[in-house]
Amino acid sequence: MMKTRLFLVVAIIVVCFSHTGFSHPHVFVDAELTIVFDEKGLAGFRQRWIFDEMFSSTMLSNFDKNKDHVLDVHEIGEIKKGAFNNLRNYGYFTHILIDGNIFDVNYVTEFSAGIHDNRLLYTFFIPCHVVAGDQVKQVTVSVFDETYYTDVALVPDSLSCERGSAFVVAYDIKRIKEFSFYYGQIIPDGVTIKFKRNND
Amino acid sequence: MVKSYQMASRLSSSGTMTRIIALSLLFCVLLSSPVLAAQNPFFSGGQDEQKTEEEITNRQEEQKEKKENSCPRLLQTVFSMLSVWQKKLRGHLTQVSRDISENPWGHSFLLFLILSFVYGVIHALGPGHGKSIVFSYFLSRPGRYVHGVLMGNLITFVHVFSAVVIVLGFYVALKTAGLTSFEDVRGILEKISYAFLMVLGLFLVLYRVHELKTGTLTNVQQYKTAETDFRHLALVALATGLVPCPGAALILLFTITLDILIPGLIAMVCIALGMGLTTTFFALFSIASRNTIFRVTVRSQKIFALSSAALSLIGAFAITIIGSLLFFSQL
Repeated sequence: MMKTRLFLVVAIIVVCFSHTGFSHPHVFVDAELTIVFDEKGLAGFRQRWIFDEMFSSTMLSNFDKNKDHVLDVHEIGEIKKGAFNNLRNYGYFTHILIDGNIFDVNYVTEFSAGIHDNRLLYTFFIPCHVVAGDQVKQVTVSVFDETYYTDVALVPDSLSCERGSAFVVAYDIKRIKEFSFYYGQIIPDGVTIKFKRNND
Repeated sequence: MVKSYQMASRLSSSGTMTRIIALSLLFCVLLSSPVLAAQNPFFSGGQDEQKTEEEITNRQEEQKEKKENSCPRLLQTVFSMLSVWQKKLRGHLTQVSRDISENPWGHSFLLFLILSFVYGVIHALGPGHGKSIVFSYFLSRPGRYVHGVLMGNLITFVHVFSAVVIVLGFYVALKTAGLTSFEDVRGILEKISYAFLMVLGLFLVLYRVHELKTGTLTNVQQYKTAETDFRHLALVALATGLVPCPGAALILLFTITLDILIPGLIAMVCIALGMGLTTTFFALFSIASRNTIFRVTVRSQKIFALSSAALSLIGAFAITIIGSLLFFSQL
């Protein structure tokens, strides 16, 4: 009986891990998110990606041409062209739901790159305009690579919000089941933002 | 009827019926396992053109469908843990590599090799690294445990060696240690590997049909003396492992940038051994599964012939299907 149980346990383990493919995390990113409001409502999300040191080092050996450990305008342009623009095909790893409907992320603005503590940084802004009204609106955002080549971790402590007094805003970070990916194997963290116009 | 009843009694009393049910489920799940292949999303892989709006919308629709699939909570937790461990290990490897660059053959060197081995074990637990292929191969053909160890390690050594050759090739030829060149070559090798697997799978299906006709896999006496064809085993391992491992490549590239190439190359062996350990486990389990079915069914020639034929064809078809899906996902 013990042998049968052991066999079943091993069978389950084998099933769990025998998935086929060549895409498991090779790159690790810590993502910092800032929720940005303008005078009409939600304006979008500012992001700061901090890559793991190993990936950063190999990237910089390609793009920091003069090896001065500082990225100049030309080098940032090359990084954008060679190792960022293609992310458009992946929605810049940014997945957004506005009141439950998918918002397609097709472009970003204000892209820049830098180096901090031997780690490569990307900063950019994702426009996502949602006008605030008297009714509460809900926007959910998460950052993950659905191919799982990259493991993106939202940094909870860095979550912040830039807003005026014109809106009532509440937000929290938690696992978002609607964003489960890789055949439901991974449920990423995401931020749920609820806001409306402040009539007081 | 009486014979069937006696057979069923024997099976259930020994608990083997449960094993057979578990195995049947296992094979079904194996064949329905997700087949995924991913390029490095940061690079275009030689494709300068961006996808059209329609292609992006289609991708999002596909993503929506995928989200509807669920997965046991335990598995979600395990995958999440694996990812965290890999991230921590990579962090430790980075730190230790820097120590080596200051003191090449000190304690850090030994730690670097141990961490590389552990990284290999955990890294191979993630999707990929030929676990489905090795499992399917030994499902399709009886094999000894030593064959499982051989194939499990052959796949991962080719997988890592392929990455080493590309990285060193570019380093020697162009004096650069870049990821973009590696990714370009990886894209090409992926297509070759998957096409190769698809063709090999088809060949194995035909070969198994031939073996079934001649009774090699359905006659008990012939089955007992059937030997593994090393050429087939090596070809499947080569086709599977041909895709270079980006995880290993990243570590080697990093050691090159730190000017510690020799420790980096030794670490590649440790990573391959670690991955080999994980892949071998799947090979051994597949061999044990087939052996269990042999022991359970050998008393009845008819049931044995039927189950052996089914397993042989399922295994060979699985390799064909996996190769085809991976190949066409690349087009």
